[in-house]
Amino acid sequence: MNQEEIDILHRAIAREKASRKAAEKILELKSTELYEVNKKLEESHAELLSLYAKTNSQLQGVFENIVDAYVIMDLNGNILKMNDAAVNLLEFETTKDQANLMNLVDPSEIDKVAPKFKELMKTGTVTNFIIKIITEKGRYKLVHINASIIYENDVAVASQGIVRDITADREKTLMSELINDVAKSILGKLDLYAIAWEITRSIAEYLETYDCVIYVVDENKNTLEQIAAYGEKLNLKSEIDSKIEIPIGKGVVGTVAKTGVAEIINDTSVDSRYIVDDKRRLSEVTVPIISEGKVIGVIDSEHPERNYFTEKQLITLQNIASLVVLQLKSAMNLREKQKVENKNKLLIEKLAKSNDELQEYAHIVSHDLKSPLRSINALVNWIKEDNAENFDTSSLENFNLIELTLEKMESLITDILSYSSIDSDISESQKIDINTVINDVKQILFIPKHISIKVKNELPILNGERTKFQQLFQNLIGNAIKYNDKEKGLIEIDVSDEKSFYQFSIKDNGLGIEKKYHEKIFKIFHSFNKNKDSSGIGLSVVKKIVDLYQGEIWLESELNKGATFHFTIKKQHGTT
Amino acid sequence: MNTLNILLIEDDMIEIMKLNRTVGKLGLRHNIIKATNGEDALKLLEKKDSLPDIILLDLNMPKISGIEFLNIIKNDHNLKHIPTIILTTSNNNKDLLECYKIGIAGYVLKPLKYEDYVSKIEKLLSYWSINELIS
Repeated sequence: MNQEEIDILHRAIAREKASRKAAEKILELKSTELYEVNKKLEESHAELLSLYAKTNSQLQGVFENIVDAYVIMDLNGNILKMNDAAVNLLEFETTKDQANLMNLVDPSEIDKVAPKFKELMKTGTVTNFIIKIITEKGRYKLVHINASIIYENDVAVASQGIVRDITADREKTLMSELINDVAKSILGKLDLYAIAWEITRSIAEYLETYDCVIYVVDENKNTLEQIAAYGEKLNLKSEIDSKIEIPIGKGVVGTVAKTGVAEIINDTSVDSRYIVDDKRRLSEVTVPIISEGKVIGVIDSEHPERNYFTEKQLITLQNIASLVVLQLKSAMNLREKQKVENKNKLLIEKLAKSNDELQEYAHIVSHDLKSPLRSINALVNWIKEDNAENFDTSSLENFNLIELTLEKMESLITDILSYSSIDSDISESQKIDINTVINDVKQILFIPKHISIKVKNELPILNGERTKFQQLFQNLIGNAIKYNDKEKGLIEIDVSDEKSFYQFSIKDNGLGIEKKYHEKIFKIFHSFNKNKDSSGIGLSVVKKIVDLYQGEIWLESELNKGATFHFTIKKQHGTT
Repeated sequence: MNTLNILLIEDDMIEIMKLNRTVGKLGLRHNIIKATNGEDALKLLEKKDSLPDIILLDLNMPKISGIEFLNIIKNDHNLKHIPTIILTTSNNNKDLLECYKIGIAGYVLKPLKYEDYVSKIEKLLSYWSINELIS
C-alpha cells in the first residue's frame, strides 16, 4: 500500500472521525432538547391533571352550592339529579326523591310544555321559559327555567336546567300593575256601580280567577248588597244574575263584614259558614273595605281549586281596599244622595199632583156639601109657605135659626175652599196697585156709618195676584170692622218701604186681643170670638197669603184699646 | 112675553122641584123639560122638530159632566145655536173661564137661600122671554 493510499485512508479516517464527532455533538444536543421537552411535557401534564382535578371539584361545588335550583332530568322528565335549592323550590323531602317534572306543571298550563320541549331538542337550549307549577305540597309557584341538552357521543341523553322561583317577583309586578290599573280605571268615575265593576275586573285579572264580587253594607237592612261582579255571576247583558243579599254576620262575607278581619279559606267544603252563590268554589279570599273604622263593603273572590289564594294576594287586596275606600265611599254617598233626590222628585211630583187633586177635591166637596144646604133651605121655605098660618112665632123663630145655621155652614165651606185655594196657582203674577185693591175692598165690605177707614200713605204697587191681595186686606179690614165696639170706629192703613219688602199695618180701636192669643189666632179654626159670621178661618187665610209672598205677620194689641196688625210683603218673591 | 121651552139638565131632584115650584109660584107658563143627566138630554135633543128655546145646565153631573155636554152641543151644527145658561154651585174660576170659552149665554150661581133663588130665576126667565129666539 503506498503512502498515497495510506494518506488517503488517514484523511478518510480523519473525516470520518470528524463527522462522527459532529454527529455525536448533534445527538447530544438533540438529546438534551428532547429531555427538556419531555420535562416540560411532564410538568404540563401534572399541571393539567391538577387543573382537571381542581375544575372538577369546583364544578361539584358549584352544583352543590348553586343558589338557584339545578335539576338534571332524563328526556322523559324524570329527575336524575337535583341540588338542595331544587328540593326547596319544588318542596321535596331530599335530593334523592323520585319524581317526574311533568307532573308538577299546573294542569292549566300543560299546553305550554310540548312546544318548549321541541325547541329544546332542536336547538339544544331553552331560555326564559316561564310556567306555573304546583309543588309536591300543593302550592302554586311561578318558575323561570333556562335549560340545555346533555350529549354523549353526539347523542342527547339528558337535560339540565336552572329553575328560579319568580312567584314573588311576579306578585310584586302584578301587584303594582293591579294598583296602577285600579287607580287608573276608577279615576274620575262617580258612579258606584262603574267603580265597583272596574275593581272587580282588575282583581279578577290579577288573581287569575273568574270570580270577584264587591258587596256594600246596607245599614238600614243590616245586609250586604252585591253591587258588582266579574266572571260567571254576570249574564249576557253584563248584569249580575240573581243578586243575593247576605245578612251581616252570615257566611264568610257576612263574618268579614262583621269582624273587619280579612280571611283566606283554603277549603270551603270544610267551612260551615260558606254560602253557595252561583256555584261552590273551593278557595275563597275575603277582604273588608274599611272607612273610618267601619266596614262599608267587602271584596270577595273565589277559585274552584283548593289552596289557591296566598297571604300576599290577601295583602294586595287589602291595599286595594284602602286605595278605593275614599272613592267608593263618596260614590256610595252620591248614590244615597241620588236615591234621596229621586225620592224627593217623585214626592214633589206626587205632592204637585195631590195638590191639584186637592184643589179639585175642595171644589167638588164644597159643591157636594153646599147642595144639601140649598135643598134644606128650599124645603124649609116650602114648609113655611105651605103652612104659613099653622106655625106659632116660636116655630117661625126656629125656622129662622135653621136658616141662620145653614148660612153659617155655607160660609164655613166657602172659607175652607178659599183657604185651600190659596197656594193653588201662583204663576199669574202681575203688578197690582194696592190703592185700587183697598177701594174694591171698601166696595165689597159693608162699612157701618160709625166706622171710618183712613189710608195714611200712598200705597205701593205689588207683584202678585189681585184676588190674593184683595182677600188679605178684605179679611183684615173686615175683622177690624167686625170687632169694633167703639162709638167712633177708626181704621188706619199704613205702609213703609223697607228696601227688600213693604211693611203694612192695619190699626183699629176695637176690642183688642189678649197677648196669650196673639199666636193662636193665625191657626185655622181658631176663632177669637164665637160669632155667627166667623168661621175662624179668616186670619189663617191672611197668614197663608203673607207666607206665600215670603212675609211676616204679627200684631200689637191692648185689650179694649184696639189692635194693630203688621205684615210684610217681599218685593221680589219666588212667585213671578 | 114669550112662553119658553126650557130644557133643565139637573141630577138633583130637589133642584128640579125648585125650578118647577118657582115657575109655578111666579105664575109663568114656561114649559120645562127635564133630563137628569147629559146622555138623556142628548137623546131629547135628537128630535130636531122640538128643540128647546134655552138650556139650563148644571155642571156637576154623573156620567158626562156639564162641560163635556156643553162641548158636545157646541160642536153640533144643529144644536149650537141654543142659548145655554149654566146653573151651578161651582164658582171655580177654571170652570167659569172654560164655559165662556166654549160658549155660554150665562153663568148663574145657585144661592143658598130659596128666596134669592126665586129672584135670580125670575130675572133670568124674564130676560130670555123678551129675547127673540130661533124656533
